Amino acid sequence: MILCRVLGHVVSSRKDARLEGAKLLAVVEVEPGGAERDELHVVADTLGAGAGDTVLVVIGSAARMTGPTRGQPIDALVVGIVDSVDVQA
Amino acid sequence: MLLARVVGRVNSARRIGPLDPFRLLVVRTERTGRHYVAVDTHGAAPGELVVTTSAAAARMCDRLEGIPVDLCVVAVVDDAEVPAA
Repeated sequence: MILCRVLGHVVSSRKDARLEGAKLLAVVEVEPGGAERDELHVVADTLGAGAGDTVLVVIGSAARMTGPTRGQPIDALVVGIVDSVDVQA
Repeated sequence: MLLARVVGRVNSARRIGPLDPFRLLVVRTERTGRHYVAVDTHGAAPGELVVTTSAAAARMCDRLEGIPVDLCVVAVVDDAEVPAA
């Protein structure tokens, strides 16, 4: 899993039929301390994350291992909204 | 698989239900220093060196079958001979 910060929503009218109803977020990878990495991802979300939230994201087929996302053409999913990260130096 | 050191943990009250029982560790890869979050079922502690396995292989670990996990600790390292970079 990777830590990301939510930048905002991605809205699309023309999309694969199996993406209907999926909520998509634009997120940027972050270090545990909060510093942004370069990589921008589009991830599906079923937990209700919003802009500014730090989220835990799974990549690959793991994204399709939940009821709502089974069979959807997605490869990234928010699996947790992060309250805090404790890191020792 | 990756060789990584446990450097912390992630606290998240709102998460996908099947992830609830598990500890979420921040691990830092030994060579490149990249940070990832791994599910831990082995009681790995901060400072310990671990081996992680990723993608579908992560869900072949005990108790992780069929849940949305893409990285987990598969071994806590007692000793590893790794030349310095």
